[in-house]
Amino acid sequence: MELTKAFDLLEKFGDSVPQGAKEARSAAKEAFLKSGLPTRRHELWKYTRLAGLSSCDYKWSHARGLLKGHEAREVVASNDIPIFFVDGVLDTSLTDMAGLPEGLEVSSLNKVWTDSFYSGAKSPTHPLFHLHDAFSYSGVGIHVKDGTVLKDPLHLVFINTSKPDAYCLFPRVQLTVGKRAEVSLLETHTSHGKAPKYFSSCSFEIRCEAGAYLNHYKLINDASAAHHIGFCRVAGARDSRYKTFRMLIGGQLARDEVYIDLNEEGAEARASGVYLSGKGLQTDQVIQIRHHAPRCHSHQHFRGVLREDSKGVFLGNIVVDRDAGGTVAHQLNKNLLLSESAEIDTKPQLEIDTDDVTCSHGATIGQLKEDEMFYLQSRGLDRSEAALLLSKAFAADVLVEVEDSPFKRKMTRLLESWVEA
Amino acid sequence: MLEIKNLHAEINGTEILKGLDLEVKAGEVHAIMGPNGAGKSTLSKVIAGHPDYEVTSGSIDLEVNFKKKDIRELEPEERAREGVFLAFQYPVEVGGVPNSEFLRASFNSICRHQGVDEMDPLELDDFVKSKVKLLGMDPVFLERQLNVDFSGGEKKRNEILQMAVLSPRLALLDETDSGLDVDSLKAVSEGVNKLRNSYNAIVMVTHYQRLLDYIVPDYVHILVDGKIVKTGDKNLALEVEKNGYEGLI
Repeated sequence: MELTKAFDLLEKFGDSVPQGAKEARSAAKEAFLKSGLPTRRHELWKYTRLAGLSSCDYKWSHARGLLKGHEAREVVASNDIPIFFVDGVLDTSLTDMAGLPEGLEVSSLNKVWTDSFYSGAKSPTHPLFHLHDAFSYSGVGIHVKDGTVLKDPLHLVFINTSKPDAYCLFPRVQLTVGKRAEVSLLETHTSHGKAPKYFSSCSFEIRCEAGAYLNHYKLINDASAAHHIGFCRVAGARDSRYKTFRMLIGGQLARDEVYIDLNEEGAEARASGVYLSGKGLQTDQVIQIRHHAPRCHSHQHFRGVLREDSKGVFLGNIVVDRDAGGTVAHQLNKNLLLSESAEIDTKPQLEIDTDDVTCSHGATIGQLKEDEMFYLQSRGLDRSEAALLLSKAFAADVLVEVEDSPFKRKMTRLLESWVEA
Repeated sequence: MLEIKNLHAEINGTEILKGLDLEVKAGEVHAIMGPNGAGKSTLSKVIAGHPDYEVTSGSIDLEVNFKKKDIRELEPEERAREGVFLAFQYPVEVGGVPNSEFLRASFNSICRHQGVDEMDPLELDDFVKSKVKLLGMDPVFLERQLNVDFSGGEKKRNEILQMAVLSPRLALLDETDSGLDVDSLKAVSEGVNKLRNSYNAIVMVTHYQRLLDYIVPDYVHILVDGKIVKTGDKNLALEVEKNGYEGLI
């Protein structure tokens, strides 16, 4: 990856952060320069080539482009509490920082950026984490105070505009859900304007404190020339619940990495999602759930539909420590290939260091079933109508796990139009 | 309605139908009986256009608007749109597709083909509900996923519901009685009887005479080794029940 332009700008504009952050950032830069982009020798990158990224010299986006209020608001529902990022930079003109409900604090990242935020993290690291840290400049710290129950969802919207040069962006979100607090978080990545080309590396660090409940939806619907590599690291404290649904539908490469650490007894994580990939595109879903404490529960259910010459990757992992007796962990990945040239690499993994567990994992790869096709044809649907109905049903099966909301309806519409396209 | 002449059909190179003749007129109910492996289910699948079967010779003509139409080369959906309906012996479970959505998609595709405007969704909903009521079914059926976790009896009743909604010219009932207890058999048969009229025809494939107590056929045919060897009225079925197929061959 030619980052010469990006590093030049970092030298020039990257000074306005606190001293501690500056040091962490420069260490991250050194670490990245030493390792370079991950290669296929790295376990998490075995099936993903970053050729598209490395051949382009991205400029660092440290200032946001212009977006009109109504253009931004198209993305959110009327009851959402929106926070807008344009080109990776928090847009304070579009975001109503003062009008937030009680118990919710949002601050610009400059004030809260510390490298020790994610102290609960035991997750692995790789070169793109370092790259992100090196450029981390704009973002938000969000604090939902103890006992706060937010009625309306918080919606983080990342809109990337069209610019003359290809650019890269590194927005960062640090969220703390306080004790017994309950909140829904929506995360949308999308683009605006004609054929924008960018590399979005977005990082979420989330702490769910004791008894907290976070419901987190992520939608990657980036431009078709865009690369999105997102990280989401979650630490679950005692009896906390983290529920997430991920929908990957757009981008040259849409890669979503989720690392969840269940650190204290009784913590629970439910992760599900769907990835859809079409001509010349790739989607990667990486999900690791680590059980570090007794009696934690986790559940993973991901589905993929791949057509034409697209590619999909699913890397799922459940890790159970020796001290994590009474663990319940399940993982399921199902894939539907609609063409002979579509490709899926799926790797469901279990690493268990204790006997006292209930675990299951499995993956399937299939095509449309001929007996189902004939059944639908015998009722008057032609093959393409039948294929459409069956693939929609296959993908929608995992959406059943999502409670009804405007965001779910939006995802359902996106799914339907993807299938019908 | 349906005229089959000297029909030969095979699957994976094995000939199953070996010169079968059958003529069915509008308003008639025919029963096809025969021992295991005689080709009963094959016959209904061949008429419906199952891709695993190949017609090697003979003809299958369907009367559409007073004209004979050779349907041998038609795709399964084209036959369905011309009014052929196959009630499956083993209805397929299709996860994620609600029954109501499936009925709507199916009904509309047939409307489009027949040059009729698609029905307004609310109107169609009422229409489907009226059929559910006619067949004495629970409306909850419509919200469930197509055949998923249905009992044997529910699956068969769901087939008859589809038949009621699509109102085919020619309904082929493939072992509709198999796996049904007496109450379900009665319910399914009553449903079929309500759908009988002078414009449509029904061909039932069955192993057992008991179905014919409920849906009384005009003709009974005995199919053995890919050919119809004997034709009679409902009494022929009683004869089979008494003496088995051996005595007829």
